[in-house]
Amino acid sequence: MVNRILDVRGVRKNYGAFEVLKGIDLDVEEGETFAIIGPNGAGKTTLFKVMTGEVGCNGGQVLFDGADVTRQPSFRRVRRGMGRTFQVARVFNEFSVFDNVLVAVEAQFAAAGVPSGPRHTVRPGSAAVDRTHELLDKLDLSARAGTPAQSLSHGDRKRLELAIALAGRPRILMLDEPTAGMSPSDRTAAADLIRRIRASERMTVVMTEHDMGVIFGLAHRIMVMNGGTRIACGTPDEIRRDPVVRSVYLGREAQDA
Amino acid sequence: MFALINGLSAGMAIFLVAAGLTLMFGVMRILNFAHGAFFMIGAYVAATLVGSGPHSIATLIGGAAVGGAAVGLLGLAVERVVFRRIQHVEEHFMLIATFAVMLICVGAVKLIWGLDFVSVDPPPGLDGAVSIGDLFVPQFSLFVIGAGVAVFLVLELFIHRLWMGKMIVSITADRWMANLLGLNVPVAVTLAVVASFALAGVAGGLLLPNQTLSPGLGDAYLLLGFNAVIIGGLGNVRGAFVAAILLGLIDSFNAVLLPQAPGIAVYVGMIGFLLLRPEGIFAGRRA
Amino acid sequence: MTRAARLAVPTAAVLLLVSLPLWANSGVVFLAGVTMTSAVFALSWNLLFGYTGLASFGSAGFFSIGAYVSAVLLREGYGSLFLLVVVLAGLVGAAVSWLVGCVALRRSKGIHLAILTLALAELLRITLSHTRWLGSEDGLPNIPRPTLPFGFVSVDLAAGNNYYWFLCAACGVLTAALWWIAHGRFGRVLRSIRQDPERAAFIGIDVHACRLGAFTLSGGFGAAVGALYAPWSQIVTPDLGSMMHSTQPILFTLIGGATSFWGPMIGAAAFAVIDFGTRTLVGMSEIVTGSILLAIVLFAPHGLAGAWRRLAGARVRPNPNGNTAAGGAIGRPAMREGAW
Repeated sequence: MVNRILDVRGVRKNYGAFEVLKGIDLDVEEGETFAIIGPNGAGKTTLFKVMTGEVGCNGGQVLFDGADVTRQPSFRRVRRGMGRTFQVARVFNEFSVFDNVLVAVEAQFAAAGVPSGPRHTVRPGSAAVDRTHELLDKLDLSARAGTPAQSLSHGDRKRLELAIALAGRPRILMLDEPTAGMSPSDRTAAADLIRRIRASERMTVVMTEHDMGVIFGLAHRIMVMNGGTRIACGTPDEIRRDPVVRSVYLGREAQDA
Repeated sequence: MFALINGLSAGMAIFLVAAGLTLMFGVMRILNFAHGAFFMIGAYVAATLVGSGPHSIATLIGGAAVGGAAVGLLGLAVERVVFRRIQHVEEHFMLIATFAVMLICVGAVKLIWGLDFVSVDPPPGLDGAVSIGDLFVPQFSLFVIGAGVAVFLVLELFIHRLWMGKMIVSITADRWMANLLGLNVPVAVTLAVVASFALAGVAGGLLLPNQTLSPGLGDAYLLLGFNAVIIGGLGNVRGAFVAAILLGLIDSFNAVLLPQAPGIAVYVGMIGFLLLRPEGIFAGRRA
Repeated sequence: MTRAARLAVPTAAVLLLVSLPLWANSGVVFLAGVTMTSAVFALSWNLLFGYTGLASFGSAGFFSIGAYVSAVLLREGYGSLFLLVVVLAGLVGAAVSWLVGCVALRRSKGIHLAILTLALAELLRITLSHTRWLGSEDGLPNIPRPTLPFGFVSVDLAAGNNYYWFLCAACGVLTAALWWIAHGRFGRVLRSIRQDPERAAFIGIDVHACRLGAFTLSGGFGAAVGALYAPWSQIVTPDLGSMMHSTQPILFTLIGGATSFWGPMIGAAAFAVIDFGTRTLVGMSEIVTGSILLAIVLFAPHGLAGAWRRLAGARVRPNPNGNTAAGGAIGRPAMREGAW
């Protein structure tokens, strides 16, 4: 029996009188890649925010690895093993690339109770430095370690953010439109990167995405949203064949797939 | 009962300061530290004009008006040189810029008028007390109450009845939208800012009597004005009016009930307000 | 800049300060002592502003708590335990600061926090000025400078310039402690919170707890330096907690530069020079300081230290566009996020 790592039950969310999520259910199994798609305004990003704890919800439950995290602030969910990236990559602009990852590594060490080196010196502990270099290597950022994050290119920023998320040793990686604003060739590279990380860390991935090529190339299962409800959920093949999905969504973009 | 009149009068004095402050916040999103300094400049200008013993109520009001006009002009300059340019800097830097303006004003006051205390007596007609029933009320208190209500009514009329005022309200609510609608935002903003400064000057002139003028005068009023503005909800003139009266009453009853610790209840009340209703008493209605 | 040049400036500054009583008159020495305490006070404030992105306008409250604790204990004759008194004052400041932070930081940021802290400090000031056993509005005068026992030798800080040198050493220790906090792991965490609190939460940082920690530390250090100040001026009054005093560290930090650890110190020194240079013309010091502050907000938000660093950086690494102000342009929005 596979472990159900993320379980969302009847989540509702409204902004004022406007109901953005009208009772969403979904479950993600450990190790799979789960994609959420839907037209603009379907509620994907809001659902994402509710799952990660960025905003609260007005009803329903979010269970992470069997524990109810509905009321938990985001930093607790992160400490339980939830890593995330933002639609527009958010990194610490005034830090160098190295410090960006270092501060995330140190936060994980502190939360996990790993000693982070001698206290009397201000230099970061060697374990944290090694781990930081390891992550920078993994994401091809070693050459940029000393660069201030604010002068990075778009693609490098995205990779840096992924490094920051991985520093938390997440069990589940939540990616909000990982290829947003990228050129087609960058998208392929980003998808390859996600695939590589997924394989090397055996990680569960939940993502929202607009690019159908990326989605159908990566996802094991796909959930389709429209107007704050779930209209379909299944394997890529099932989704392709689903008449409802075809009519509301793929009708327009099926050619891209 | 005496405390009530006293409280009302103190409240109106606070409102006179808070009105300009809240107007400024409404249009510029700037909490103006320099407001107290402009209040003080208004008071000094008026005091210079009317001397230490004004001849009549009219002289006092005239002095206040000239003080207001002078400070309004000064405000125009400050708006052009400083405020317009700090519109898009970070909030803390705005506060600090207005603080710098305040420092310059305080310095100028010290340079021009020196460090000596100046005091002005109430003019004839305001120096006595009238009896209402079995109660003696200082005429000056009534004058301040009257002035406060008058300023409030003028502002009310201006904001809610006149085209220019409505425009300012719309800018307060959503500057971007107001721009989109083709409203002449810069002119309206300038007008509101100048009005705000002029109000500070007028307040300084009106509250002149029974006051010792010193370069530190601005601070005490500024802080109480801040309190009223925050409790009333930032940018809300009506809220500031109610809050100022509330603060005046609290202070006045504090003086009666807890004479050994005057001035404490206002701050306790204010801190409570900030924590419980950080958005002000009329939360959600920013007008 | 070469390593030698980098070391030369601070070394010269330290030598200048320490040797001051040997060649300057007592007025200048007194001013230097006050400036040192203000500088450390400003550093403690900047831990909150420049590192964590929170602006307190009531920091003088903590300074005055420390000063009063020290004044009362010294007048009661606990002079021989003065080092403990300073630590105790710091702990009292930290405890009060923790209490205030618990309530204030949860709900208010930006302007609200500024006004709330301002009101709390004012409340403290008014309470002090009505407390008879603390001297009401006149404060506590005649605070004795203590004698410190070190084993067999005891140093009488009341004699000659001894207290001045003690002040140099004590401020040095506090500065070193603040430097250590700011540059270590905790400092890194605080800076990440200032840049983007939400992103910080998503790497597993408990933003609220860290802000509270910074607030507590800042209050503790403010009180400790207040405790050092009391026997230097030998009088404490409720005005130590006034709004004008609260705005001093803000002034120093902004003049010197908030994004640099040493900025507040440079600002305090610059301010002391301005104050001293204009002492004969009443009001001039405010005008000069105000103008400089205004110019800095309008043209150089990183302060003197930032301007210097940019100049130095421009020389080392010339930018093809000649756009050396890039740091300023991008740095500011990042601070804005931190403020909310």
